[in-house]
Amino acid sequence: MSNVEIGLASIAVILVLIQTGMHVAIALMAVSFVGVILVKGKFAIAGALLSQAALDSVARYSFGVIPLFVLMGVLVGASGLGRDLFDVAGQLFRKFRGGLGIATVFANAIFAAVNGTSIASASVFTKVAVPELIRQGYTPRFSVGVVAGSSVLGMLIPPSLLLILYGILAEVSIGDLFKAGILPGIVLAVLFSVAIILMARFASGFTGVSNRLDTASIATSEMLLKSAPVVALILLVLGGIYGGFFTPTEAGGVGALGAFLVAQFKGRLGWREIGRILIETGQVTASITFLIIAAHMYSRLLALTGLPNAMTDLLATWNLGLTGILVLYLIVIILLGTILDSASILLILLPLILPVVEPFGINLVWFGIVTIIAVEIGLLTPPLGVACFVIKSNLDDDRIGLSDIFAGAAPFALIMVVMIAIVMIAPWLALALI
Amino acid sequence: ETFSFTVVAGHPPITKGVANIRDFFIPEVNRRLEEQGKHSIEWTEAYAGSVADVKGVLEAVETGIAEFGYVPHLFEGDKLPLEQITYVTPFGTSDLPALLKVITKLHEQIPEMDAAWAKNNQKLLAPVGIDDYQFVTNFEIKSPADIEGHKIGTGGLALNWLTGSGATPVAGALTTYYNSISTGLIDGAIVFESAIAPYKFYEVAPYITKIGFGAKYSSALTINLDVWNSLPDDVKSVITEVAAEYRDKTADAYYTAGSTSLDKASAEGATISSLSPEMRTAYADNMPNIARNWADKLDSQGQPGSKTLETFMQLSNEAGLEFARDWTAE
Amino acid sequence: MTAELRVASPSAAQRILTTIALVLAILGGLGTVAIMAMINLDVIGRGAFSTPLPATAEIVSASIVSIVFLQLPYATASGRAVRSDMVIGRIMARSPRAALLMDAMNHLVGTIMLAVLLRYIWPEIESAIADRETVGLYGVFTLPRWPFVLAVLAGCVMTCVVYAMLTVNLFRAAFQTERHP
Ligand code: NA
Ligand code: NA
Repeated sequence: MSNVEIGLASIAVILVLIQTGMHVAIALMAVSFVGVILVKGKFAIAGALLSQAALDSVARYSFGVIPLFVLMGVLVGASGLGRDLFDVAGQLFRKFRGGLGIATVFANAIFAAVNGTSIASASVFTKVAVPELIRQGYTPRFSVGVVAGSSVLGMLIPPSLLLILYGILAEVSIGDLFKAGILPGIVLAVLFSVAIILMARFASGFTGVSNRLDTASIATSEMLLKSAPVVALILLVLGGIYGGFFTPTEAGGVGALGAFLVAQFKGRLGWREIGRILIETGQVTASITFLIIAAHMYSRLLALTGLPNAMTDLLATWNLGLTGILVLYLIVIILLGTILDSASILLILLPLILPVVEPFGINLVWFGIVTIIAVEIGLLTPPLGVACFVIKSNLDDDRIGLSDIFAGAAPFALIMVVMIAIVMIAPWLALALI
Repeated sequence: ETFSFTVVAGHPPITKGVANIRDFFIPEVNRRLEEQGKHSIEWTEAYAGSVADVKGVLEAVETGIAEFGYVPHLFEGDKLPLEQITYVTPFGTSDLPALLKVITKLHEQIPEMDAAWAKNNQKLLAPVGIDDYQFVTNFEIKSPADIEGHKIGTGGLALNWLTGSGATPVAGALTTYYNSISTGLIDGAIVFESAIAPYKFYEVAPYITKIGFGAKYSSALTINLDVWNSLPDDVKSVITEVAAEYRDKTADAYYTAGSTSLDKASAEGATISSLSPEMRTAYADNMPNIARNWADKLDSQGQPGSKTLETFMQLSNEAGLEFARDWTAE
Repeated sequence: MTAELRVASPSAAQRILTTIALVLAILGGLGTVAIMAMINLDVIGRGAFSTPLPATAEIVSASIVSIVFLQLPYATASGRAVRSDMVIGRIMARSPRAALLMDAMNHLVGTIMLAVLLRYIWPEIESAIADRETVGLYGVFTLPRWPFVLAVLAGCVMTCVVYAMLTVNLFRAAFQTERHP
């Protein structure tokens, strides 16, 4: 078997192993180990690749703050801030059909402004929104789907760990990328909302029918009171970043402390509760980061097989124009997104594609936004969809299976494809604010 | 015989040292081997951290994951302490090609330097450096006193260059400085010249003050030692020859890029000025002797710190490379 | 579908293991608090007193792996490992024994892979300690690396043990399902 064939075979094996219910990280590790033995012919080298990836691959500042962004999310959830935000949003959109779905999207878009990872968004809103959505008559499938779908806003609307990673790899200003993510993030949220209204009207079998009559009306003053802490947190994080007090990466640390103080202020945290929050944060951080580590092992194997290089060489022989290359590139990202995590896709593909597209003189900030939206589709697609996994691991409800979450998220993944097309046709969406 | 080799870098090929591996070293080795007609190499290239992160390349080559690596040894102070020599001796030459020739000679005279690479199971093929470091700020610097009280972005051992200056060093990297300056987190940064234009620092920090911290020896192209020892002599000699040319070509590329970058910044409206030699000397003299501190610490660990420092300064003198301060002086 | 739910009465040994895993997870949680404190001290020190905390970025970067490995055993024991349970759930409905056996095999592979990781990470950890490697910025501010790698080692060992424990439980459950369908 040639190395490239080993690379191709490894993809098939991973798909099968994941289907058997093997822990995804273990499947990725096992395939990487065997794959490197086949490519390099030595156990010791395969072992070295595993241990090095385990020790080094997430040893970056931008990964180091993952637990803090998760902690912030858990704190916002535990202190009831997420619930308040959701209540206020529910109130704002109660006149619409599918109003609580729109409220979930809206609240997620706001929450995205204080957190840098979709993991945190998905964690918080699984706890906050899913039970309420189901209680109001939406189907479980739609309830988890709307949370999964809107969680992608967490990494499109700044701050964003993915945009930071892209900025490092493509050597583009992270500040520019952040500003470029704002409008597409808002447009995507609006698209999601429109889709929810349409689905609630024309596909009520999928969404369920909301019996929203029992939603108590909230007075304006109470709405202001309820949204004040979240607004304060957003002001702290965004004001700190754009006021020059800390970097987007450091925002994880400051935001977590801010969320802790707000939670204390609301009088919700005893020692026992703090312990529970730390354990909860640890469980989400550990399972997701270990998965990311294993995905790095696998992406390193793929790079060693030369499969990505072979694919780019093939691409070069086809003499496609810029549009052709971009479309193929985006398709490859979406396909890789089914089996790899977001960071690994960027690490594998960017070094290969950048030299190909740079001669066309494209704007790398715009390219970054298009790339990130495509990469984020992978959060929602089976078999490896991190956002869906996060929802599953946060959901204390065995009646909702992973397949329900993927099915519920599918319409939102499709809308993201539309969103990519929109940003490609209208690059100013990404570039207007720079 | 056909060899199958992997070359890895943690940096993307935008980095000239990596670009020249891809565009010069590999094709040139292939060409010469083809001329010989006896051996060939099939290369797998994995850059930008796709196999090893910037801090993982040394180990990837050590363990045999990759046969060749672009090792930024400035992150490997623990394992390769002697290679840090140019970072502890600021205010040297801006002539990178000449500096790297001195570095090659230094390795010949201090066997412990190659021994440290060998301990990490690899052989140094070509030293790689970066061009002169300057201040890029959003305020004017007429004398070193002007940076007092300002926050200056810098990284790694270069953080030490601000000791005694009255400025606050803020750890950062090339990719973060622009944003940090525009938000006011920092008032400027210490960066090498060739980075100024690509990162458009002049847009947020229009004052470029040439202080001349000096060109630096920062990275290296290496090969796994077991692999090296197993290679036939004619392949070894091709690799050695091409590596030497790669060293010079890459050094020239950085050196030229430095002045091109400054020209572009100037054309875009940046104000470029130079500190006088007296001011530069005064700044250097005001620093603690970080070179001696470094050497003494290594001496105490049984490493030839002082010997490396003294030999380096002497070789530099012989090559006509001047320092604003004699770092060997107590 | 997770193994730990199927253990009606965990043995004393299993309770001890779970407690050790919990203690490691709490240490990991304290590590998270520590890096939060570091970042805030750095931000405040830099902004208000012009004295940043040295090497914050480097130390935070180095901490994440330790924190993750400290928290991994408990997350694994609590069935939080990321997986797809569609197929196994369907098999469970038809033949619980087959599903349990399949799950046991999966956990066995987990045990083996963690053992493999342990086998190859061990020399690296040993040399990091023996060579007195550091974390931080060489020549500016450094901490010894051994506490960081020791945390990884402890987490790796315990995760392996937890996987082994779950494997045994699942095989046992599969066995009992057969005897008492
Ligand atoms: Na965000
Ligand atoms: Na996916």
